[in-house]
Amino acid sequence: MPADAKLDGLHADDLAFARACAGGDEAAWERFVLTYRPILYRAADALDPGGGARDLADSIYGELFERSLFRYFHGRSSLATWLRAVLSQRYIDRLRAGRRTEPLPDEEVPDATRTADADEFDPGRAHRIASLRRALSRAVEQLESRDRLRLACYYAQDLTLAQTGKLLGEHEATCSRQLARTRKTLRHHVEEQLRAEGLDDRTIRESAAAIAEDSGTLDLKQLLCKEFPVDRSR
Amino acid sequence: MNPPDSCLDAETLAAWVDGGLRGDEFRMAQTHVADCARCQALVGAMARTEAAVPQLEPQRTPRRWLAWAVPLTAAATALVIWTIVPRNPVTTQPVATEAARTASPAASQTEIVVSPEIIPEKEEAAAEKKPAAAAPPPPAQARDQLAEREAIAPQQEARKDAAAAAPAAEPTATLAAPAPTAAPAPRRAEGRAQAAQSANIATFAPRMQDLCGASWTGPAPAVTTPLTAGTSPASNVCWIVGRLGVVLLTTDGRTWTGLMFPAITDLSSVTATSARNATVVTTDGRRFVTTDGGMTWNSQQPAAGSRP
Repeated sequence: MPADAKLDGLHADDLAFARACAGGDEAAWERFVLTYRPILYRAADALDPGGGARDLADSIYGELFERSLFRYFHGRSSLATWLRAVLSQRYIDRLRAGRRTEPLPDEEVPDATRTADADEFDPGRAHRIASLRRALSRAVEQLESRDRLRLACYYAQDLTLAQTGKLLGEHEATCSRQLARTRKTLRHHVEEQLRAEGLDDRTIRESAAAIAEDSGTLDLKQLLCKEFPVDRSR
Repeated sequence: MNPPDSCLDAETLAAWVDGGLRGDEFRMAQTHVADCARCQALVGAMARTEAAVPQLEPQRTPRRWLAWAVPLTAAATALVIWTIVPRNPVTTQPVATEAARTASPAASQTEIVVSPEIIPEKEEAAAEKKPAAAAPPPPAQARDQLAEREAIAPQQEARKDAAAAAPAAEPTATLAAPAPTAAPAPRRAEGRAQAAQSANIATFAPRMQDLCGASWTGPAPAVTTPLTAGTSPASNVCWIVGRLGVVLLTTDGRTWTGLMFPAITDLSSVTATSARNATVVTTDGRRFVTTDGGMTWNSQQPAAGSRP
């Protein structure tokens, strides 16, 4: 990246302020306590309204007070955003570490062959769901990474169109149009694969209608959240 | 720059959210997050915290071609402000009537007109919850505050004198709710400084929910002094404390009353069990207890060995 581009995005004021805090400037530290510490705690409350992230905010504040953490801030963002990022990172890592040792029921990968109550009355339903799951999973994999990211932000992470668009550097109206296009693409890919498995159009339509009415264990959110192998060719 | 396979570090994530990633770095971040459940969760977490945190500064945009408009707009704005800002900044008018002051024992109180527009700055309401053990209060903060108080005290004295001279603005509370009709007209530079301070405070405004609890729906008190903590022992009852001895109380959830506090010092926390019983702690560790809704205060010595 050219040096002028980096300088253009440099938050010099915040960097100087962080350096002053790290250097023990008392006025700077007082401003930090009055202005930035509340941000840290509000962000913690937003992540976990039950107060479960407050200890992480405490820990970060402690590290900032010892000045050890400030050296990782280089002014590439505002200090407030960086604090939120540090907190979010620690929160998500702790959440994931906890889930690894203690899997939650909703994290279990649904077994496509497992039948729900409704499936027991319709043996073909479990088969159709399994086929749809495979087809949808492959269709999601075939998407461009940018389209997949847009889907994941909007449907899996529940970001708004504006937030999703901001991350992708596009207007929310564009984001909305792109989401609609991606949904069409997904449907097209899924139908193609189901046809390749020997299903006729009528069966595909009926399956889609049945799934739309009751998706059962089929969840796009889980498909979007699963780790895909990185395709370097893109 | 992050390698393509590695997860986003906090700095890259923050730069992305602030619109600071460009070119290859931007594309690599997108490609990685599209395939990484952890980073997707991170992005989601960042979005959740965004809604809870007020913007301290305008977001930077990557539209460099608009850069010329910034100084032009700033100059135009400065010109407009210079033209329209009055010499005497309009402040909230205390409405303590003579009858109310004489008839009520709360003669030493100032009733504050509620103004939802102005929300003063405060330290996090839960600041009492100390950080990790290795995080004591900031060094020599008290010394700075003393210096600041010394700088502000003459202004307050002048304000009090002026208020005493005007019958309609007689209240003796130490609140930052000045008597505009009686106060000497500040010079233009001072007026601008006050306006800038107010704007600054409004920018960093805490939500009333931070001070009085998540379910609080009442308006904010119209004071310009930074507020530091609050507590709501019952519905419609909330105590708020701030710098320079500001203690505010509402018992109906709408009208705020400024209470006389025995010391002009910065207050760090307040606990209360009702509209009558409260304990206020100053930043230098002193505790003041009231059992009559702030009419009288008793000083308590800090426990031996306690840290200010």
